[in-house]
Order: sequence, then C-alpha cells, then structure tokens
Amino acid sequence: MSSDSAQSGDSARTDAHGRPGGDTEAETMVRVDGLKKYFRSSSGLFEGLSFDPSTFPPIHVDREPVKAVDDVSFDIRDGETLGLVGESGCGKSTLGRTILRLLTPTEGNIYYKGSDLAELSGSDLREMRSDIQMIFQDPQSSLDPRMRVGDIIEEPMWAHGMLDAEGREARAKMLLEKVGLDPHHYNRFPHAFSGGQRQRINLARALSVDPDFIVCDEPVSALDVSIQAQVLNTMEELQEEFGLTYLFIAHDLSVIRYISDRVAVMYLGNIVELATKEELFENPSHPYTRALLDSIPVPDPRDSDARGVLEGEVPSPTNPPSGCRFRTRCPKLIAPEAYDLTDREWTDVRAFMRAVDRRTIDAAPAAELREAFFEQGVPGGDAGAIVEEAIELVATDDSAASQRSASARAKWDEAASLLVGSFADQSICARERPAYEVEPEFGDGRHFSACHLHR
Amino acid sequence: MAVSSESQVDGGDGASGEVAAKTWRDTLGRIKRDTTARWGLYVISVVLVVGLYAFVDTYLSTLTFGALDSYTMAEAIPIFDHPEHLPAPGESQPNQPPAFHVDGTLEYPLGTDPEGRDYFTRLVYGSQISVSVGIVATLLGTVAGTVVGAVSGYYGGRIDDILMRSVETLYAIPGLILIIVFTEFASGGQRNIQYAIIGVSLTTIPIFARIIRSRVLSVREMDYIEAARAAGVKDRYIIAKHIIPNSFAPVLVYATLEIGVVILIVAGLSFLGYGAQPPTPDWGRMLAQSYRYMHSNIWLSIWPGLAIMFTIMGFNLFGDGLQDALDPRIDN
Amino acid sequence: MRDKPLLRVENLKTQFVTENGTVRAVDGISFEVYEGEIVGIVGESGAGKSVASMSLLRLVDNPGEIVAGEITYKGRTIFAAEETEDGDRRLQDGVLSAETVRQEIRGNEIAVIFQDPMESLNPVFTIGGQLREFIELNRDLTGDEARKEAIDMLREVGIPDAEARYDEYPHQFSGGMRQRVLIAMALACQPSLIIADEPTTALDVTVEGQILDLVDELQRKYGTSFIWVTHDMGVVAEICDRVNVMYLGEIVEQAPVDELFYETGHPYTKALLDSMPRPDRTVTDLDPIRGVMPEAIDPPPGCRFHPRCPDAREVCRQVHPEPAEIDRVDGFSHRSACFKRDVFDVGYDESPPLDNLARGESERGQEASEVASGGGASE
Repeated sequence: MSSDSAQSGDSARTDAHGRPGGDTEAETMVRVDGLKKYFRSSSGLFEGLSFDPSTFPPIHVDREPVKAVDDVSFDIRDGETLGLVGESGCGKSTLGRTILRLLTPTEGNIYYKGSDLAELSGSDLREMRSDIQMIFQDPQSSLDPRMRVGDIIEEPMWAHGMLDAEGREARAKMLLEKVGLDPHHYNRFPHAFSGGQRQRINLARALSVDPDFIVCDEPVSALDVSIQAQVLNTMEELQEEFGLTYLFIAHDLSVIRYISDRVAVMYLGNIVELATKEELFENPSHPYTRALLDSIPVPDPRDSDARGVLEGEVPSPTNPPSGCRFRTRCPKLIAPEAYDLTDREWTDVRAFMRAVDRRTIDAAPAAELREAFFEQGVPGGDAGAIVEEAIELVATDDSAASQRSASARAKWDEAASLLVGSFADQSICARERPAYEVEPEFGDGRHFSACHLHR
Repeated sequence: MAVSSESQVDGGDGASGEVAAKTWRDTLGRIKRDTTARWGLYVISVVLVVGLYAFVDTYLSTLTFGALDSYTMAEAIPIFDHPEHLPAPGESQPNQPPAFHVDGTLEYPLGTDPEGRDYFTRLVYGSQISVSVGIVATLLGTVAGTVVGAVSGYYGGRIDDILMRSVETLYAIPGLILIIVFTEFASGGQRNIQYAIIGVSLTTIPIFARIIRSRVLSVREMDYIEAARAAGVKDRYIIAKHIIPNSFAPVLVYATLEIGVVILIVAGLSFLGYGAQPPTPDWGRMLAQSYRYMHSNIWLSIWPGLAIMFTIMGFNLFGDGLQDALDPRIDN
Repeated sequence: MRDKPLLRVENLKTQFVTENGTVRAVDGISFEVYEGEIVGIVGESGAGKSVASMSLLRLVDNPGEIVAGEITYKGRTIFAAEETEDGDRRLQDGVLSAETVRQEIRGNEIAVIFQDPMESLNPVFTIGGQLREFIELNRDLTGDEARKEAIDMLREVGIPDAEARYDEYPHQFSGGMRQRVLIAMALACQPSLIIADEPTTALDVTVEGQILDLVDELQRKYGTSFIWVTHDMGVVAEICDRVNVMYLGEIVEQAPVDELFYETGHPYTKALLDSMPRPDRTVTDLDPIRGVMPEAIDPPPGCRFHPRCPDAREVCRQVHPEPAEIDRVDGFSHRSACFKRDVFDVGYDESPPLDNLARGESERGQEASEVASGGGASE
C-alpha cells in the first residue's frame, strides 16, 4: 500500500490490499485507509431541528453532516516527513487529529505498526498515546499558563507512569537541553518565554515519552521568519537523533518544501495529489496544486508568475461537488463528451457558465453577452442551443422589468441550473471520482494525482 | 508584567492570551496594590477576627461550663469579665441606650436589649453565625457548582444537557422558597441551621455552574487541553489540573461577592425564623427581635443592620478589587 | 529628482511609556511616498511597523505618544514636533488640529485597511448598510444615491451578485470577501493614500493572490498610493515599488524593490532573505538569524542589529549608523544603515570583528540570556 498511497477513489479500492512490489525502500509506519470524519453541524437538545410551515409535518430533523475528511487513504513511511498542505478548511487539521485519535473517525482504518487505531478506545488508546505525539500551532495556547515548564514536559511521562519523580525531572532537563533551551528554565512559567521558545517546550513535551511518530499541526506558522528557520532546523536535528517520523501539516508551501520528503495536497476533504517533494513542486499534475503553487508570492521581484489564478470560492463541505471536488473551480474542467466542442468553444462556454452561476456579471442585452463571452461566435449544435437558451433567460432585451424583480432572479437561476446541468454535471469530472498514477519526472517515487486529465 | 512590551506595542497578544499568562502570584501582587481590594480585605479581617474570637471563646467556655445560653456566653467574655458588666438576672437593666447617649453608660457601649443583655456582646457573638454561614454556604455552592459546571462544559453533549437542565430547574425555583421548603423537610420541622446552610448553597449552585461552564467552554478549546489528551492524561485529571485552575478566576470573584449576598439571605432567614434558633445570637435574628421595639429603642435595629452592611461592604470591596486584579484589560 | 512626494515622514518617533520604562517603538524613521506607488514597510513582529503606520494618522492610543518628527501630506502638516531637552514634546505652529485630521484626512485623504476584516466590520449590521453609512458620512451622497454607490463599490472590488449581497451580514461573507468589502470601504472616498496593515496575512494563498490582483488593478485605475505593511517578503516582492525594512524601531534599509532583493545593502535584510524557505526552489539548509530581536525598551548600543549580525565589528557596537544613500536607481535612493558600505567613514575595515551570536557562540547561551532578561521583567 505504500506505493499506491493516497489512492482514495473507487478504482484505488480494488487494489488497496494488493501491495504492488518494487517500492519497499522503507517500512510503512502509518497506513490510513478510507478514513472519513464527518461532523454533525450543531449540538444541543434540539440539534438539527427545523421548522418549515410550508411542508408537512412542519417540524423535521435535518442532520446533514460536514464532511471534513472524506475517504482519504495514504501511507506514512518510517523515518520520513510527510507534508500535508492545503488551505484553511480543507480538513488537514481534522485529518491529523483523527489519525491521533483525538477525534473518533466516522469510517475507515488507521493502522499504526499493524494495529488499527480506529478500533481502540479507553485504556488501550491511552497506552498507545505514548507512541504518537502532537505539536500544536499556537505557542500561546499550547502550554498551560499555570504550570511550570518542568511539569508541562513531565505530564505525558506522568500519565504513562514512566520513571519515578527524579527520573522524570532528569529526563525533562535533558530534553530541555536537546531542544535548545537552558535546563535551568525547568521551574519557569510559560509566559517568560518567546514564541519560538514555547514551540521548543512543545517539542520537549512531545519527545518526553519517546514517541516514534509526531503529528505537527502548523508548528511554525505563528512564528516570525527568522525564528521559523531556527525551529525548523531543530525539528530536523531531533528527527535524525530520535529517529522520528513526522506528519507535517502546514498551509505554507515554502515550509513544506523545506521540511518534507513527500507531500500530500488536500482540497475539501480529499487528497488531490501526493508525490515526492521534488516531483510535486516541479511537476505538479493536479490543476489545484498548480494553482496553489502559482498563487504563492515568491520572494523575488523578477519572478512574474500569475497569481490569483483561482476564481470562485471553496464549496461547502456539507454538500461537496460530486466526482472531483475541485471541478467547480478547475480551470481545466473537461468538456462533456456529449457535445462536440473544440477547446476554444469549450473555454468560452465554461467561462459563460461560471459567470452566470456565480453571478459575476450583470444582466445585459443578449448581443452584449454574446460579444463578451463568445468572440468567435456561439458554438453550434446542441451545446449552442443550450447556450442560446441561457442567454435568452438572462438577457434584458425584452423585459423592461427591473433586474431586481423576483422573476428576473428566477430566470437567472433557471439559466444557471440549465448551464450547469447540461455542461458541468455531464463532464467526466462530475461523474467519476478521479484517482490516477502519473509517471514521475523527478526521482522514482510514485506520483498519485486525482485528476481526470491523466486518464 | 506578564506581557512583553513588544507584544503590547504591536498589539500582539489577544486578551485571552494575557489573562492566561497570569499566575496566581501576579494576581496576589495586584491585590496588594489595589486600594479597593485592600480596604475590603481590612474590613473582612476585622469581621473574621471578631467571629473567630467569638468562636474560640464559645468553644473554650463549652469545655468549661458545658452547654451555654446567651447569658453565660456574655459572662464568658474575658474583657467584659468585670462584675459590673454582667447582666445578672434580676439586676438587669433592660433597654439601656448606647454609651454616647446622655442616658448611656460605658458599661454597655451599645446599650442593652429588652432582656438586659449587653448588646455589643451579642453583636460580637452574632458575627459568628452570620459570617460562618455565609462562608460555608458559599463554599459548598462554589465547590458543587464548579464540579457540575466543569464536567458539563468539558464533556458537552448529553452530559451537558442533563446537568445544565437540572441546574436550571433549580434556578427556576425562587430562592427563599427553595431554602425554606428544603429546611422544613430536611430537618423534619426542626429548622436546624445546618439544613439552612445546605439550602442556601443549593440556590447558589446554578449561578456558579453557569459561570464556570461558560469559561470552561473556551478553556477546553485551548491547545494545552488537547495536548494533555494527546499525552494520554485521564479526563478527571485534565479537569482537575487544567480545566478548573484555568477557569476559576471569575468564580472566585463571584464567590467573594456572593458571600455578602448569602449573609443577607441568612439574616433574612433568621428574621423569618429559619436560620439560627434561640438563644444563639445572630444578626438576622437580632433584627427580627428588635423590630418590635423600633419605636422605643431604634438602636436595637441599627446595630445589627450596620454590622450586616459593614460585612457585606467588606466582601464587595474585596470582590471588586479581585475582579480588577484578574481583569486583563487593566494591564499596566 | 521626482516631483514632490505625496507624504513625507521625517524623523518620526513614537514611544510607549510602561511600568518598566519607555518603549521606543518607532525611533526616528524617515521615508516618502510618491503619487501612485506602493511603498512597503516590512519587518518582524515587534519591529514597530504597525505603530509607524498608525502614527501617520495620529492613531496612537495611550500609553503611546508621538514624541517627535514631522509628517507632511500634500503640503499640509499632519504632525510636527520637537523633543525638548527635558523630554517633553513641543508641537510646532501650523500643525493640523486633531479634529481636522479626523474630519479631513482620515478616510477622505488617507484610508486604512486592517488585517482582520471580521474585527473591522460590525457583525450586527449588513455589509451594505455599513458601506452606505460610511459613504453618507464622508461624501455628499444620501439615500438611494449612497446605496447605488455602495453597490457599485462592491461590484468594483469583485463581489459577485453585489445587489443581493448588499443585504447580507459580515458572517455570511468568506474571509477574502470581507477583505474585499474593507477595500471597497477604503476606496469609497477616493483617498489618495491607503495604509494597508497586513491585509492579506489572515488569508489563504489563493485568496491572497486574488486580493493582490485586485489591489494592482484598482491601483492602476485610480492611481492611489499604498503603504503596505507586511512581514512577508514574498508579498513585498509581488506588489511593492519601494521598500522600507524595519528592525527594532528603525528603518535599516530603504530601496526600490529590485535593488532590495538583488543589491541587498543591509546584513539584516540579507539574513532575513537567507532564513526564508523558498516556494520556488528546494533549499537544503536554512541559515536562520541567530537569537531573537531584543525588546525595544532597551535596544543594544551602536547598530541595533550588531549582536546578531554576522558582519559586526567593534565599531558597530560603538557608533550608531544612520541610513545613508549607497546608490541611486531611477531617481530613487537606496539607503542602508550599515558601516560595511564605504559611504560611512568610520573605520569599519580596521575595526576588529565582534565575537557575537552569529559567530560561533551557541544559540543556547543567547536564548538563556534572553530569557533571563525577559524573566527578570516578569518577576
């Protein structure tokens, strides 16, 4: 499974247990298989209860869950750093916490050294916690302000009954030194430390029970650049010394590029691409990864990359798009086969469809719309007929009624659903969930890409 | 000075960060510097010393003389041990005015009651019941409320629903009625003060539970709670070691203020006949007895009233000062 | 030489009086903003960049105070004062009154965009209502006219279906959309200068890209000047024309953006660039700046960067360098406050190298001393 990491689509499921050979350079430490984490949107006595007088019965219970992590599979190998990158709300932190079993998975398995963490509970789970640790993002809130540094570092050992009081103190002092702090700070309170130093205390706490695997949730994003580099370097040294495996969650691609061996990109609860670092950054094969890479401001004024390449907003995780979740914003959305459109025609149709759907344009006479979107003319055939119908609906030629009227709005909605229904929903991107292997250009690791362009 | 000048200048830390960065030692320092809190502390100390004195003295006397009535209690006060001070039965001088009055004598600084007992002595002994009941009832309420609120807030979900709904039910019953009914039933009509204390503490549970719960809701989102869980610490230790210490500040402030309120409630109960039972002196009961003499001897009502006011003011001043000391916004 | 600058700041000093002493948050900075350009102020947290930008509008709250310096905007003096010998300040004649600054400068002439759009918008009023109120207050528009203008502004900053979203509340907008609303608000009175205080820091990269594009487009269209406060060198490279690098209350380097990255003048700027992981190439070893920035309450003598500077020499500890012009590009000067440059004739070359943090001494030793000082303040 280490080879077909991140294969999460149905096509991947078939060979989930067949382990293709030839890629066993490292043992698998963590194997995540079909992991799902859904959240009920609210809690409380009357959770999800809503009142709608227009239906019968007027009160009904609505429990549409937020699909924060939705069917994710990948491997983490012994001794590596797997970078997990994505924008806020993509589910990367939830994924990290679910692997740690701070959250209970809705479905799926998490194999850690062979045993399934998803099945554990109670004291078995607590015992396992000495092997897996976590480092948190916020240096302010991750340390109890009313505890001394020594007690903070010793707490995990105390919870697991490790060593006696003297032994714990000696180990805490040793760890303080290892993470680059003075052992004499043992009796200080956290507020006497700067952000970077607090993250070092965090590291010492995580290391106290001698774990093998550490989930790092944005450990340096709250720090200044120069401090960030210090902490990153310490983390690398510790990884080497203690033989640690990291799952490194971050939104900053630069940090990910520095620290990771392999990188997984997440979008709306799914992993869209996973490859070795060099391969992912130099040969991104998923349009979302490419958009992310293009968007980062590069600290080089002579680099004139496109930016702001992505339009629209991330859809709601309660009701994510079918098939490929990125398809509603994808600049490479594949033309539905039913219509025989040239690339050029499809680009026009796609732009028009999205403009109507997102209402980024104002109502205008039909001729103006045609000119704005179809310089080369509206395509012919069935596709053209649909486009014309939609133009009719949104155009302002015949109706003198105000565009703010309810009927204008209804017509606009009709046009939007006609276009989306006839084009976007017919694309392979909407019908099938993508999961493909791409031939790597850099290195010999496997390259997983959830994009139908690679079919 | 928990916040570095740097972060202050850049507006770095949020308010929660600052309050979190405060240790109890800082708080103590602030209280020492806060005039309001200091004065409150002085007043409370006076009341406590008087109450403690009365308690110890009564206890010692009990050892010597066995059960006491209010007469012998007055006899047992060493400083008034002078023969003339004793309102010996038969020779008692009822309804003496206070010493500063033309008809008053220094023997009875605050005068005597209709039964000829020294009013000052009774006031001193009355403090014992009022203050101890106030503190004990508040303490019980705080402990119970804190546990309920912390467990409720930490676990959330069903446990939260059940605990908070039952606490709200308690809240919905008017306090005085709850206490009276509880005392009447629990004591089997004896109206013992112990049951009144429990009754009063019952009425304070809901507000303490709500205060701490709201704080716990934000504290439990802190990363250090998750860190403790990730480290494998058991829930009950997390609640005891992290949740309660970090949520306790507002409860402390409220409890200090609540002591004053409880003293007032107990006085009211005694007035109604549900608090201290005769012949135990108690400010509320002294008020209850004195109102019949309002026209003939107004002082009988004024002294216990002043004592109650003075004590409540002390706790309120201290509570206000404590609030300031714990308030992150008032940061040098 | 270019024409007269839109805004000129000279020797601005802002201080905070605290229990532990005076924090010299901004300590004598000078810079200009010309018409139609985006000027960056970049630095780490605690460098004083936010205080500096807020001082321009005299928006410094107690216990902070602008103690000295001169701020001139379009020939009007927003602030001018001198430090007297006994440490007090003396306002000069002809300075605009606080009232005039509030009414005529803020919002109308110089607008501000803050980092957190959620905090800048009132959650209980609709987006449109807030925007309309702002327009009614600052321009001679009322009722339907103001409403129409507000919708036009929303459309202008790229909010789809502006008419419908006019009636929505801030929480119904995503972070990026809220930042667009704030930009609309800043633009509503067509100011000549907008101060943007870390406006994209809280946003995701793809949204940040959208906002940067929008700002570029609006800036071309309206010719508005920007002061862009940020800690992100990437954003600086993307959007700024000229940059001021701040360290511990001072501007240590001032240069056109290309110069800053390719002809870096100050060791601090260089160290900052070297300590950043890069998105565009794989870096195997990061070279972090040793130690942390000292507190502005007790800055090191001489050059403030000398304890962490790899090039520090004895003279750096003794003499304080003022920024001096080391080059001139397209009519703009490139200033740097470092003795390594020849323009300073203080005998840098002969001076013995300093044995500081950056040179061998362990990081731990420094951290210890930092905690000792920090801890001393807190106990």
